[in-house]
This record gives sequence, C-alpha cells and structure tokens, in this order.
Amino acid sequence: MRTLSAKIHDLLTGLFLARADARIYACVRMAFALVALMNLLMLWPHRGSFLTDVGMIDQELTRQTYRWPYLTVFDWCRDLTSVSVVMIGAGTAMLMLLAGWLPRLAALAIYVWHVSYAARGVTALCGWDTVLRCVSFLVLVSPLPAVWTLTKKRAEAPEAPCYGLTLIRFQLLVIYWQTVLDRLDSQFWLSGEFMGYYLLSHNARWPVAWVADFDLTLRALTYLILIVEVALPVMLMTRRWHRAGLLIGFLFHFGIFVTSNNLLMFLLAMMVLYAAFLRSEDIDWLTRQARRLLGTSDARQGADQKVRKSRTSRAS
Amino acid sequence: MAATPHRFRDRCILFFGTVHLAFLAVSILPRPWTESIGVGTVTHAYEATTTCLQDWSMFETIPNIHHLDVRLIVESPGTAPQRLGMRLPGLRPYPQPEHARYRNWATLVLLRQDRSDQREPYMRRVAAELLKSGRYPPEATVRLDCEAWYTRSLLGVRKLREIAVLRPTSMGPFRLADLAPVTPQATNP
Repeated sequence: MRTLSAKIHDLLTGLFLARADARIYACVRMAFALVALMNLLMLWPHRGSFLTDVGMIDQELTRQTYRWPYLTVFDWCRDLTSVSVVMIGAGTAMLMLLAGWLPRLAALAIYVWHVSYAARGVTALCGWDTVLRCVSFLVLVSPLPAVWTLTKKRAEAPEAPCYGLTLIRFQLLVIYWQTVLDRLDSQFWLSGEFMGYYLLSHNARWPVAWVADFDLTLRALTYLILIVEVALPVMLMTRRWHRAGLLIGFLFHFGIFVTSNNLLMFLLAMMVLYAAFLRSEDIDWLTRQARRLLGTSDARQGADQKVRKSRTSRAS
Repeated sequence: MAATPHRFRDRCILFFGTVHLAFLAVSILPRPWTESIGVGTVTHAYEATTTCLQDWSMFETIPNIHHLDVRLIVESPGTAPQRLGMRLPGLRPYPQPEHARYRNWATLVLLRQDRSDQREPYMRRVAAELLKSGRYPPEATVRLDCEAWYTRSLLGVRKLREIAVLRPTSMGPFRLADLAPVTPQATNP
C-alpha cells in the first residue's frame, strides 16, 4: 500500500513536472507581451501625471506609506525625460518577449517595470495592473521554450514542465473565488441589487434610469455572475468542459467590457490568464483555422499532424 | 506522463511550485479572513517578496458613485474666479468621460481617507504650477472643487427617474503664497 507522502509527491509531480505543450507557453508569452505593451501605450500619455515628480503623486509620502519595500526605478528616474526612457525600454522588452528574443531577460525587465510603476503610481492603479503584475512574476519564473519565436531557429523543445501553467491557472481561480467570497460581505451582492447599481455607476457605459425597472432580470444576472465565477475555474480545468469554459469566460469578460467604460484592459489582462488553459488540441484547431483563413496548407501541417499523432500514442 | 524528480532543477520547481500554490490556496480567502486565522503575516511576507498582491476586492465604489468631476477654482484679487483643470503637470481638465486612473486617484485621494495624506502635496504642486505660470500673484487663492454624484437607491431611481444626487465638496481656498512660498530672488552680495 502506498503511503500518503508518496501520493502527495505524485500529485505535486503531476501538477508541476508533467510535460506540457510548449506552444501553450508560447501563447501565454505572446499574449502577455501584447497586453502589457497595450497597457504601457495607454499609460504613456499620462506618465507625467502619475510617474514624475511634477505629477499628482508625491513620491516621498508614497515611499513612507507603501505596504512593501519601496523598490522602483522611478526612485532614480523622476523627470519626464527619464520616465519616457524607462517606458521605451520596457516597451522594447515587451517586443523582445513577443518575438521570443532573449525572453528571460525581457521577462525580467517587464517584471521590473510592473513592480516599479505599481509602486510609483500606487494611487492610480487599476485591477488589470495587479493582474498583469502577478502574471509578469509567473511568466518570469515559467519555462520560456523557443517555440514561435522570430529569432534564429533552435532545436525546438516541444514540451516543457507544466508548473508555470499550473500556477497561472490557479491564479485565475484565486481571482474569481476570492472575489466571490469577498462579496458574501456585500449587501449589494447578497440582495441581488449589484447589477442594477453597476449599470447606473461611473463604470457603466450607458447609465440610464430605466435600467432600474428590470429588477428581476438584474437580480438574476447578479446571482448568475456569482455562479459563473465559481464555476469557471472548475470548467476550465476539466478536459470535457474547458472549451465551454473558455467561451463562457470570454463572453463574461466581453460583456463586462461592452457594458463598462474603461475596462478593455481588464478584458485583455484576464484573457492572458485564459491562454494558460489552452490545450494542444485547441492550438491545433486554432492553427488549422488560421491556415485555412490564410490559405496556406503546406507541408508543415503534415509534419505537425505527425508530431501530434506520436504524442497521442505516447500519452495513451 | 510526469518526469521523475531526480534532478536538482526539478526539486527546485517542486519546492517553488508547492510554496506558491500554498500561497494561492490561502489567498482564496479574502484578506480579513486570512488575518483572522493568523496566516496574514506569512502571506504578507510572501506577497512582499514576489509582489503578487492577492487583493481582488474590485469595483468597491460601484454601488455609490455615479459620476465624478474635479476642478480648480483660482481667484485673484479684483478678478472673476477662473476655472482650471486639475491634472498635473499642465493643469489639464479632469477627463470626461472619466478615465479609470484619474478616477481611482480622485477616489482614493479626495473622496476617501486612504490616501488623504497626498492632498497637501498635490495642492502645493498646484500652487507652484500656478505661480510658475506667471498669471497669478501670490495673493491669489486656489480651491479644489470635487463634484461627486452619488447613486440613489434603486427604489429612488424608479420613483424619481433621477439616477444620482450631487454632493459637492471643496478643499480651500488657500493662498498660493501659503502653499508654495515664493523663494526670494537671488541677490548679488
């Protein structure tokens, strides 16, 4: 009879060291780089307000009250020119990560950027900044296999240990489940009135008084959101339901984006986490669709199918 | 099939993965809960190390605030009050429709007490910028007007057909010279 410790060991080995398709890491890497770049570009016009010493946030007070050790490159870069240089450097690192060129170095630079601007602009942060900061740490410590890169082709590593994907997946679970538990304290959620208030709030894209007339629908929607947030991580983690989970998750965040002002970045940041739930068969399907759209059915497709078949036979 | 964790690298992965997963597992509980069961200190320390803040109480202000506008009012002796934008540098207007980052700044710094310590340095910078522009004398005063529209109850919205009620607040007026003392001109010895 196997001991409990052996079972735990097997469980952890399966969670962290099982082999994962390297293309999933490539998807996460590229999605993260693109979204981080978009966030940087959207912050660029406001860098003077939030990241310089002539802006709206006092650095010395922030240093004194910051919850963690105040580590930021903006301790040295305080004027508009040097802040611009830092941002250009971070943007370059994001392009490098997107292209897969020196990816570990690029991931480190991007992590430093996220930690730095979060410390300096602490009173102007949004939910997606926190999501991106968590992902930047996980991308930094994850395998970054040389798959789908623009750099000189090396021997491809078709598989990598899955710990990075596992942790990103659990990160999504924490976001949803902690949010739901936190709402158990909120009268607006428990009474089912939240969606009514949401659609009248500063976040709403079209706040109109007649929304309040649909009381029953809005209550049902409020409770449905809680159910979806509890169910999504479970769906995404099961083979049978993960595609439905991907679709429902996308529709859920797209719905938030459509009904809200300013939440495009939140949709995109969450989609980076969703990329970690892709499976080999999803990527095969997406690749086939992309090729069909581009009209390129080349010999490479046959090679991919052979690799997939051999993987399937090994797995079985 | 999982690889056998013989190598040092695999052991490191297992260790890090287990620690981070345990951190995430605890982080499912909201912050007040983790503090009440006594693991708050450990999770704080790990958060500080990795900077992976796990505080997902998003959309806190939603049920209350319908709309926000912030502006500066400058009055020079003998002239009519002038309305200026509040964004530094450049005194550009508070963006409409609202921009999430400026709204979060205004909510934290002006409406709530969380970061009220930032108010005074902000007003000092405003005064310095106004004086630097050369258009206002040191005796001029500046006031920050914050127009917050608070959402009515849903019952009230249904009955009155009015979404929100304005509750303006002001900071000031303050003399520019008091906020940003004019440095004496350098004189030749």
